[in-house]
Amino acid sequence: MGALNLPAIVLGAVLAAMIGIVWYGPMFRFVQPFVKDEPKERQHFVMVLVVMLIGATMLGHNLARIGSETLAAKPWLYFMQSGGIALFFIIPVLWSTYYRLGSGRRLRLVACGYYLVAYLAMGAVFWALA
Amino acid sequence: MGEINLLAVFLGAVAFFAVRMVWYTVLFGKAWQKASGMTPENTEGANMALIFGLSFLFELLIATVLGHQFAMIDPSDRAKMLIATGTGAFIMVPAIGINYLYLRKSAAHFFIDAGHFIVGMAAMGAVFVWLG
Repeated sequence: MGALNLPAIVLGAVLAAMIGIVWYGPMFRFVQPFVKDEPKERQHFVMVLVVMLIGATMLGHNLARIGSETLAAKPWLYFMQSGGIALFFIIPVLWSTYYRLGSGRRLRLVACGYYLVAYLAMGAVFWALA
Repeated sequence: MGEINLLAVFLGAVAFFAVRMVWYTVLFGKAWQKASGMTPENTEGANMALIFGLSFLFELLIATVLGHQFAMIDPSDRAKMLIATGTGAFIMVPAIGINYLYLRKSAAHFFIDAGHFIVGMAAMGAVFVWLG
């Protein structure tokens, strides 16, 4: 396994969390607000950042396994890996869990859309900082 | 794309589905109903065939992508188990964790669902190990 790109992991996680603020703020606040004014809700941002750090580390680990030479020759792999994690691991889990709980389609689409955009952004950070 | 082991993909999805069935009936059925508030009375109108069918399709999709990964990197048996279980523990579970936080679900509800994804993915990984 190659070396983990630590700056990309941190920046990717921060960017994904920041996207969450915009996604669940100005864009889709009406579906599921990201941060409300209550002090407890503000702590949730830290949780999101921690979770995105875990996700970015896993993505960094995957990319390190592929190797820098292969990634330099096939840069689309950054987006295939990051988008693939969201599309084929996270979204099926979220969609089926929400469906079972009887959550509405709009909530499901917004939640799944967030993970796709956030992970693609993470992939872009890894690509830019390669 | 590499040679995907289609039998392992199918049986891996079946293993995950079997874990789901045992998890939410024999093992944690009552605890999950209490934690989620989803009792048989308030889920009367739910289309269970669609829920089960959709779940299996998603598990098949997950197994296909896992099989694709294994075909690409040809990992050892230990690495297969680590990748499968790690995907459950460090990719799937954190994602539902965030959303449960905002949906104000209880810790018990989260841990039951999280455990199901980790054990389900471990079962899927074990099938890939078993079938080479």
